[in-house]
Amino acid sequence: MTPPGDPTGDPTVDPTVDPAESDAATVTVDARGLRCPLPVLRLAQALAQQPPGTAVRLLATDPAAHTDVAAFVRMRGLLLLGVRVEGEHTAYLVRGVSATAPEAAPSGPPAADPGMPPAAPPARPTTPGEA
Amino acid sequence: MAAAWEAGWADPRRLHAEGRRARRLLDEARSVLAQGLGVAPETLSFTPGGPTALRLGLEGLRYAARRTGARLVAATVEHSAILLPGRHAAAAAGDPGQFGPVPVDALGRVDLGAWAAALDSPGTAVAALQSANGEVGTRQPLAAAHEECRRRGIPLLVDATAGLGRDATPESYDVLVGDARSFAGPPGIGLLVLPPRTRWRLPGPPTEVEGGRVDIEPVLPLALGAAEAWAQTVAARDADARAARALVDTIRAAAAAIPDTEVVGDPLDRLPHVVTCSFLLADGEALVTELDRRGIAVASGSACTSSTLEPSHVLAAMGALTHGNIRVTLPLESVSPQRTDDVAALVAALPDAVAAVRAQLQAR
Repeated sequence: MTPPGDPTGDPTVDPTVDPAESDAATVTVDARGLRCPLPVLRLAQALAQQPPGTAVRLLATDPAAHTDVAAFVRMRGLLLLGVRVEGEHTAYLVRGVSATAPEAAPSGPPAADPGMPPAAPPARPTTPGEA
Repeated sequence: MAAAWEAGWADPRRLHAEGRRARRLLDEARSVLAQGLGVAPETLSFTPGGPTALRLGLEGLRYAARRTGARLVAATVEHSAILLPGRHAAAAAGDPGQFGPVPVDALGRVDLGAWAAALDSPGTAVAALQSANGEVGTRQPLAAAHEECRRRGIPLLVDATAGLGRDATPESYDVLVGDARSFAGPPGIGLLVLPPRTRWRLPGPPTEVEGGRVDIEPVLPLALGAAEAWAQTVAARDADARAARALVDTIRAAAAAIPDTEVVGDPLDRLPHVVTCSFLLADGEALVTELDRRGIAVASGSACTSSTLEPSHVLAAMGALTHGNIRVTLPLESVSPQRTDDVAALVAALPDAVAAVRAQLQAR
């Protein structure tokens, strides 16, 4: 079951972190209007350009991003700090852990993780004007 | 099929010699398929396709149980012919509780605890579950899921449209639905099995077609083609499934050897002939095109390849990567004698094709 405040259902999500809160410390990637796999590609490129540990905030309107950002984070061993619907788009806050060293990222298929619940659509309330 | 059109042109409802012959042929086709499914012929109806059989099966169960309630419980990976009407009916009634989607795990298997909890919700009239998923191949725990239904007196519709004839025939169900395409039969023939114990009724006056379960006469040549396809498929089923399983294993291994790849679905408890995988930072549409250019035909569950631009609801429900996705459904060897060579070609081409598509994408 997905606990409240953990909208992706991903165990790597820290529900106490709000994607809008760490704005000052993050890079924002605007992938609104782009279709899959471009939002995840833009996110991966931004993470690769930043020093290790930088958080990147991705804005996307593509419905596939809901599933694919969480899958990308899981496959690359990154951290999904938060997900929030902000009106027309969704904001995803991702911290690069190994993205700056792609050769060190886990390769091949990740072991199936039956304990991981499926990603649910983000369900946090929208705060108007925050986008 | 040409022979079936030659033999089956007459109207089985007519009393002239040709009509009587057509009636006899239709009865024979029905009895071949019923015997194969282990059911009485009068419980098997032909419908115009698998999705129609799903819709009718669901509608009749629901109408017959209308005094119990209107709630449908179904796994989130079910066919859209189950999910869309279920969601629509709940929305039309203004009662979201009438639709109870049950989550699946990362392999696509329904959570039995959540299944039981969903059945316990008041007003649950009908439940629907696949025998196995046609996109990722994962089999569902049918016997256990059916037992939970039986204990509560809730009828279970089992959707076997993905694997009927290719995998073991389901035995735990109250309504069984199949599609002749899964056993290399013609399109346009669905199978609806309604055992006498099942309470099932459509609203409105009863029809005189197919035991009152459909209002469209089956197209006789298609029914004959389905029966012939069934006979040929089951004759070689076990050997064909073993070979298909081994071929799928080679595709899974070849995909897994490519970095940043997710091979989706249960590696063992699955249909013998279906495999799906997703390549991170690759474009599904470009991958299908790239493989097609190399003479290899695959499908995809990525959003960019669908008319709605939505990703596969099955992959999304599993939390699997939806972009860069390809899906292979192996044909029977009797239908595609070059099947083994085709798989070898795919396995050989895959690393280069994925690399090419990834490079194209990085350049954007």
